[in-house]
Amino acid sequence: MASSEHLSDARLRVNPIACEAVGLCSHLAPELVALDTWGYPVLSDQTLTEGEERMARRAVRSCPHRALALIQDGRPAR
Amino acid sequence: MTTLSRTTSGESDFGEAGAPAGLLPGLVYVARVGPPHPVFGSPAFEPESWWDHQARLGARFRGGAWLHQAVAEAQITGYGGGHFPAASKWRWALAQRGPVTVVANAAESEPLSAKDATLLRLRPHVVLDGLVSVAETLGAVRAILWLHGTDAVTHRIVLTAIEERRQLGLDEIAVRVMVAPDSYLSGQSSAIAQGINGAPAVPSFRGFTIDDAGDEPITVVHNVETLARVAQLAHETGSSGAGQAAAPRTTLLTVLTPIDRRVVELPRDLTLRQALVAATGQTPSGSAGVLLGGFGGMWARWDDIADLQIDERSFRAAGLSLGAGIVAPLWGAACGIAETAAILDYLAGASAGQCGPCLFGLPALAASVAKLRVGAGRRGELRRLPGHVAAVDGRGACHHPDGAARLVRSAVDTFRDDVSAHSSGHPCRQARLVTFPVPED
Repeated sequence: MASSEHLSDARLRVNPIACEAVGLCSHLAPELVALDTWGYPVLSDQTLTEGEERMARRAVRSCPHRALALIQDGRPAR
Repeated sequence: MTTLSRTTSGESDFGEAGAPAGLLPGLVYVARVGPPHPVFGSPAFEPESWWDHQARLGARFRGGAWLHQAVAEAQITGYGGGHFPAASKWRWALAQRGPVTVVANAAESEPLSAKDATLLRLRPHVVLDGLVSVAETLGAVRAILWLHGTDAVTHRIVLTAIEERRQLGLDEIAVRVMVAPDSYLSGQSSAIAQGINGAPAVPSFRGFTIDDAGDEPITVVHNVETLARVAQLAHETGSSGAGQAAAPRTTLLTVLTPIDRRVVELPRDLTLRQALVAATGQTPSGSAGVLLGGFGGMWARWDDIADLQIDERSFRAAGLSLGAGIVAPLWGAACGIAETAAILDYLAGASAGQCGPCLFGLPALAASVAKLRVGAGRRGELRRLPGHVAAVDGRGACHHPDGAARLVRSAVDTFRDDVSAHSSGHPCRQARLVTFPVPED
């Protein structure tokens, strides 16, 4: 895991309309995504370390409904 | 308690039709439920014709950069409850490439509110002037009036006013009326943006692209009172020439009484106590709860808010909000938890059902408050309540669940003693009764 000096200002965000509570994101990034009673993601709002950002990107790519995004400077980061 | 005459405030005379500072000709009594039907001995108010409107205010000045500047200087904010600066919305819209539609939002889907329809029924041309001026300022291709779904009277009045303007050839842009579905969320701005483009009028998610809309159509939504304020400002600034544009001096309030709703226009420097006396002739008892901003609003204790000025800024400074200018006191010995439970049932039913946390979380939250209402579950329910609130707060595409969360949190704060009595199995004697006009659906 990278040192905390390499913090990214990116944040995970979910589109709650598109989300169907599949839950892959929580499997792939358990430290960043918890699930509520009904299986919908509860996202960490903390700044991400480099390692966490890689984890977040994996979760974003895995979502079958494209409901998850990594937002940087007001738009989705690629 | 003596009734404060509406002229003793020394600010302006609200009884006089023709006072140029006022949006409304006077205090309007409105039926307790449904769209505004002026009742109970109101003066025979009629919609103002274009000729009367013009005689009162003079000609309309064409919108443009000068109006944008005046609206920024006067710090006009959204009277639909959000209080977002209108000039900032315009700056954003002007920076986009897509075609602009300006919408006058008269959905007024908040069941306690009556000011928007009252304004449209009495002064339709003030709202239409504002809408057309904003459309000119933004170079809009469409101007739409988004009307409450079941309000046939206002619909007719508005169509008549638009026809007057068409026959006189007043406006380059023709205002089109669209009727909103009769649902709580149909007045939400992203729902309107969908509805006017032929999609179902339900909220959409915009969180992934905030700043730049590319070539997408741009929708600028303003509450009808906001547009009336813009029109008023345009008349004042345009006729006085240059100079600093002044902030609106009055605000519209809808006040709930035991028998009706009252729409009243009052100077913003009155205290809420003075405002309630002016609107109703009385004030609630000291420890009574007052619902501010309607069903999506928040509770506060009368003692804590009576001396605040009826200006959104003074309420914000106290951590509160008047929302769309709604003040609903608990007048008798009603139980605030019972009222809150009934409102939550309504809010849960009003969900568009698009987002999981709202679809599942609001009914769970409503059920929890319903248990507290009847004193079931004892201490356990009060322990579970914060979890139910957190499960919905900030987790929808729109702010509908956030409003429900805020309502419950404010109820727990405001009715602290009742909450602890209820949660130890001793609900209020009035807990079976709901005094607010909560629609059943």
